[in-house]
Amino acid sequence: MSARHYVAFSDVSVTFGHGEGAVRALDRVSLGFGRGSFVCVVGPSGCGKTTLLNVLAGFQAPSDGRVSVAGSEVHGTGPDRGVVFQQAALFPWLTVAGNAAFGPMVRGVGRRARAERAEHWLRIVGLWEFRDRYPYELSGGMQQRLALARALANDPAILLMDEPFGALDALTRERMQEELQSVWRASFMTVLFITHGVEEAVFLGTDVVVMSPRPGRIIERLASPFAHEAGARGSRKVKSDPAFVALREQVLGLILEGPETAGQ
Amino acid sequence: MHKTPLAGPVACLLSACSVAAALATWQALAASGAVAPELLASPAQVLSALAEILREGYRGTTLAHNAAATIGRCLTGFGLAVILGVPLGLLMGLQPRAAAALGDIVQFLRPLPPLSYMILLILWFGTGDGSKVALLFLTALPIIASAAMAGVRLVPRPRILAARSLGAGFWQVVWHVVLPSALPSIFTGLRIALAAAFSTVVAAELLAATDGLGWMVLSASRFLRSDVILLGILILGVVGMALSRALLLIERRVVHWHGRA
Ligand SMILES: Nc1ncnc2c1ncn2[C@@H]1O[C@H](COP(=O)(O)OP(=O)(O)O)[C@@H](O)[C@H]1O
Ligand SMILES: [Mg+2]
Repeated sequence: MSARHYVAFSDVSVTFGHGEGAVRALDRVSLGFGRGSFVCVVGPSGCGKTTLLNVLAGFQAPSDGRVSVAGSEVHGTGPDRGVVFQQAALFPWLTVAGNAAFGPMVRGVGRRARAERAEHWLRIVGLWEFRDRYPYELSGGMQQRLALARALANDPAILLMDEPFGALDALTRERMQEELQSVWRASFMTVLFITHGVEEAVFLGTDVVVMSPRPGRIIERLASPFAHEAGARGSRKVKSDPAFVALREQVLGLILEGPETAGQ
Repeated sequence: MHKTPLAGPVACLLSACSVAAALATWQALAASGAVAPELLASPAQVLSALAEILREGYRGTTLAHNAAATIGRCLTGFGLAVILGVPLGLLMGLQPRAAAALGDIVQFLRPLPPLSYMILLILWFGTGDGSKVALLFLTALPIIASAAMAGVRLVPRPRILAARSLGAGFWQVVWHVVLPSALPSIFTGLRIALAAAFSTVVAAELLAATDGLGWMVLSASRFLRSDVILLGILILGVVGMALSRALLLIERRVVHWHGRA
């Protein structure tokens, strides 16, 4: 994939272990997307989704190939790429406000400015009145909103999310999807969103990338128009739209049967 | 089945009952004459020994002085072990090379009965406080260092990755994430180490000392003052309990999130 793209994975492979027991988590994966895209990656568990995200986050160096952002190769982590994990991974000794201000704090932003930054995002995710609480006093959904606010308080250009809503109940998940979408629409952020929920992927993504395991590969990439429509039409309407259902079924078919048989 | 511990008036009442039962048994045993009176003083005799010592002191030393001597030695050795042991354990947890280099020494010291090398310390540092502080330091250090190391290894990886992706550098991760994450484990180590240091300080005072609660007990045994011996033992128990309670209170304040997150 050429460096024309804002984010470009070029022939990226990741192998864990050696010899007989080696696992090819990613096998010559190429993927590029532009600034402001919302890329959803779906696929069965073990197909390399987390590895893909880890490589872009800088947590995992590729065994082969390269990943670049805005033309420069990714080496290690950077605050330009914010991450939200499935388990919120909050700092339990810090208050809600302390968690939200952590990024600006370690980056040397002054006390006043980082408090303002934290307040801004805590208000947006609806946690401002809980600012003096501790994470263990929050529900799962609130913890995940805090993790989102913590990542956003750093003003990342790219937001990486690894099954962030996987542990939430259906109702909370739906609300979080809408919140995330409105945050994304109001920003210039590029999002890489890992999920095993096909509906979630088709609903949220401008692009849906389907992966298959052993070795981890991208088998299809589809454009999805619904990310832009949902705000105007409401999510329930979108999700029952025949075009939405058709795309969802197509993606599901790809995951279950592979590229050869799907869509026939 | 796990049940929540009782608290409040019921717990106090139950505890008071068993203390009263123990006192009654002791009184009955002393009164029965089954044990020679110079070997087992009655509760009343111990109480009057307490009054006597509070009034006149014990062989030229006051009770407060002896208690302060014991607590002071204990906390000095323990405090030094905290100051050195926590960073040492963190280092071993963070740096596999440090763990490889120092791990065996720490694991060798940890189960070693401190009194076995006490005699060497006396030869090196004399019979004064120096040898006792060194002894307590060596008792507490490996316990604290191991706990800190274990704490580092238990830090959830996503927490570290989150901090790094938020822009934290190595030392910021150590200070803002690894250390606080390891605190619950460190405090567990501190409690064990303090208890070990306290029992060791008393044993050390029994071996060689000119003051302290342990010395008081030993000295009383030479004069067959079972009332003073029992008094010393009771005070030791109370002091030990108070020390560990105080540490527990600090722990609850500092690691308030522990067990809830
Ligand atoms: N650190 C690791 N060491 C060894 N194997 C790993 C490691 N991380 C992931 N794998 C393996 O790589 C494959 C892809 O994993 P992952 O990217 O986590 O998949 P997904 O997120 O899609 O479930 C799996 O087979 C997994 O067992
Ligand atoms: Mg995964």
